[in-house]
Amino acid sequence: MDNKSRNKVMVLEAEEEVGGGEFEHLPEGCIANIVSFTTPPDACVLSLVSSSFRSASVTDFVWERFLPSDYQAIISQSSKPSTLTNYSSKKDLYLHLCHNPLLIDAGKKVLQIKSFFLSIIIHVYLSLIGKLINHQSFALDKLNGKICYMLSARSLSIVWGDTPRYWRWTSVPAARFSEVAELVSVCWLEIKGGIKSGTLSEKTLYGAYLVFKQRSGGAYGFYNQPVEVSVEGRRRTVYLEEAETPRRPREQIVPGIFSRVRSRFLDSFDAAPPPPPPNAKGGGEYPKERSDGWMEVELGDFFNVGGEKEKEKEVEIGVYEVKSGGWKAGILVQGIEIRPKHKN
Amino acid sequence: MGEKGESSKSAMLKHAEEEELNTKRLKTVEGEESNMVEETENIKLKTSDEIIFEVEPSIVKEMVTIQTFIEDNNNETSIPIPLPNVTSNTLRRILEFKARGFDEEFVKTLGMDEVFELILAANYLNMKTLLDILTKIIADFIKNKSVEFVRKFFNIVNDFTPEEEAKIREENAWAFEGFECDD
Repeated sequence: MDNKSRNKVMVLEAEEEVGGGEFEHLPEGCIANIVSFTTPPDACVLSLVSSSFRSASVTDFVWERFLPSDYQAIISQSSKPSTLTNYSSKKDLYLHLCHNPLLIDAGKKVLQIKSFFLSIIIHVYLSLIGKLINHQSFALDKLNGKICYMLSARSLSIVWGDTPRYWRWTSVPAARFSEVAELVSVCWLEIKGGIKSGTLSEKTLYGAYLVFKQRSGGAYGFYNQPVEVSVEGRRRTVYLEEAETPRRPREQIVPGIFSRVRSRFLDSFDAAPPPPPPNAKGGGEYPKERSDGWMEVELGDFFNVGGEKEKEKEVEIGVYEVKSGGWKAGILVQGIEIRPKHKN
Repeated sequence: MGEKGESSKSAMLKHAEEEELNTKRLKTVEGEESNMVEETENIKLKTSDEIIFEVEPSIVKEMVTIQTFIEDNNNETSIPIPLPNVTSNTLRRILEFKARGFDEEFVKTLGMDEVFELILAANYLNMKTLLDILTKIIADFIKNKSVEFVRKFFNIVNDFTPEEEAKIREENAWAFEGFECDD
């Protein structure tokens, strides 16, 4: 729009040429407009077309369109918003959010209690049991700028989670959250979580994944043990241990206290169902390794329609192994990740 | 448009002007109360090839460049406003497009050259809705395509040195992984 005289010349030229060749004279603003309707990877590929395409493709105008519309509000909920003031462009901010999940103090409970003394006591109590700060992490899917969340173990509902003889809370350097849940030993495994539809990107197919790993001493009770999982009420079966892993000798991992009682139980639960062939459909999903060193297993998927009416609707996710009665031990649960599913 | 003979040109222009005014009046009356046309004064726009169009103020409001010009000139609308960057064909297309409610399918029937002209005009006139529709259609053509395809599509010459190109490619390496084939 600034180059009025240039455009005038171009119009006359256009009349003389037979066809093609005109597009390279498009003003940068128009090119940026076109690029903004493509995708983040497209914008990067397009920056190689020519120098005018490159300058258009790296503009804040384009990358602002790729960021979620409410990204500023989300960033302000971060526990460390200051780390984000250093980005030099919206493109840098976008890439930063793809690679560096942001810890969000969702559910940070600000207790307004009239008695100052009483509020101190309650705050101290809640922080001791880790309930004051309810962490989730926010990130973007690099291919399309869609919102990803990981619900920390603390923000999940873990049955018996507050009872130290069944679950204990520990810090692990490799985790993004300050605490992970360590399964000491349960026979009733039940983990539930939920996320509001309004926090996720609209019109997107999402997958939910349990993010976990085996404790260094190994896990017990998961080999060939089907675990029932559900997303939005749709159930499927997964395994939390790979079929190939050889069975570990029981003596190594059963906590000493229970070993005598256990050995009687173990004999009766010894007969495990034969492992399904690895690629059988309906045989259940096996865990896969993630790039951050943790394992994940898909719990299910759902299509998030989004929109005002569905904003408060909660997507329910669950993990259950409550039927076999067998004891299970030795996994660390970091959380449940919810991210867009890509084809293939 | 290439004719230079003055008298025949002006005669032809006058004829064309009259035809234009008639078609414009027909179009502006479409779907509206007839008394509306008499009460609201249409705005005269003169294209680069000297054709005068009478356009409804509501349509001119979408042409932010023109609207600003009018407001800056104390709403003086009796004199035709010159559009040196827009030909009569292009303006006609824009009005036609507007009359069809910005139907995307209509754009797809046009040739690439015309779409390009429309984009330039929409950009110059600052018509955001029109520009967004046109650029989105172009974007759909170039999504998930290779650099070579895009250069051919726009008939653009690569003005990078091999070193520059290699550097940009490296910076954006992730975008080239898992690349799908051109159709």
